[in-house]
Amino acid sequence: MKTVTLTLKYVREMDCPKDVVIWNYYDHEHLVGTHYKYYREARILAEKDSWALLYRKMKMPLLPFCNSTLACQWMEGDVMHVVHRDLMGFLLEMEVHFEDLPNDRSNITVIYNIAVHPFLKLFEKYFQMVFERWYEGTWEEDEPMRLRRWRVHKLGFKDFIGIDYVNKKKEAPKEFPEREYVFKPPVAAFSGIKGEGIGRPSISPIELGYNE
Amino acid sequence: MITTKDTKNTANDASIDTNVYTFLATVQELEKDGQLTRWVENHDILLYIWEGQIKAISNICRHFGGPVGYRKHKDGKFTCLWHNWQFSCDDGACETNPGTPLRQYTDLVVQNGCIYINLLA
Repeated sequence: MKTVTLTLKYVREMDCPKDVVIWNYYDHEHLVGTHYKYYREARILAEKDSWALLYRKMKMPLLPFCNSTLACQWMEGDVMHVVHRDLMGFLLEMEVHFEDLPNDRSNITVIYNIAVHPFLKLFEKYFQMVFERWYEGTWEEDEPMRLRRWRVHKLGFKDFIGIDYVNKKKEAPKEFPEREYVFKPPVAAFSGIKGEGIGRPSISPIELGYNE
Repeated sequence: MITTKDTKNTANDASIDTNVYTFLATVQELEKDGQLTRWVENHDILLYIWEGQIKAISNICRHFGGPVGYRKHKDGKFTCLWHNWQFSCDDGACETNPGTPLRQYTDLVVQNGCIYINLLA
């Protein structure tokens, strides 16, 4: 079938190294936690190194129904690729380019390419609005997560353990030695995301927010 | 055992040993939502009122470091924002992964409407 491609590109800087951001993209369990307003279900169907085959059910902005996608995600150098096929048959190819900047900052470029029937070119503005809201909304939720992850890492945080001086009720160090953040996918999963998948638990609707 | 009623304590601030205790929040701030979080000297503290008592636990989830007190507790449990790990309001016990309880801060002092914490207890 003949298709046309709608392209959207977003560039943002982050106050943390790129590996923290890559960790965030590979942390599939946070979809129904941090992004519980958008994602209803998440499941890892298969996973090896940076390759992951994923099922996700989500509520996208401006669409009056839940959509679901089957997605394949992998890394090539400093570029993450994700190819999604959704419930309606749209093919979405996403690229995320990660670049470290001086002073523990990074530059993140997200490119969406959506293959659609030529008729839908008429609705390009609508697609732009949907994806812009999606991108802005999820970025707004991911940004404090990445910054906090970086902050606790600098305090010596270890996954599934925590921070030594907190756990052991010891004096906090006067200075914290520099620890490089190195991430190699996949993220260790604890929930049933590799089995039947996970959804949202019953939670309080009252958000008190971060305190960073 | 610290209760919200201890806010009527009339002792003056001079009796607080600042080598031991650090100011955390006012009782008025805490009573607004019954729960608040605050970074103090590289500790992220979740302060809350539970069954009439003021309690404090670490706000750093031992899974990946998420904010346990991002949301108001429900049914006696805090649910970490990032991955939904759940912790008891009684004592910070982790219900999702029982080997990873949150550290409790057990030495709190309320004086003149201010809550102070001993970060080493």
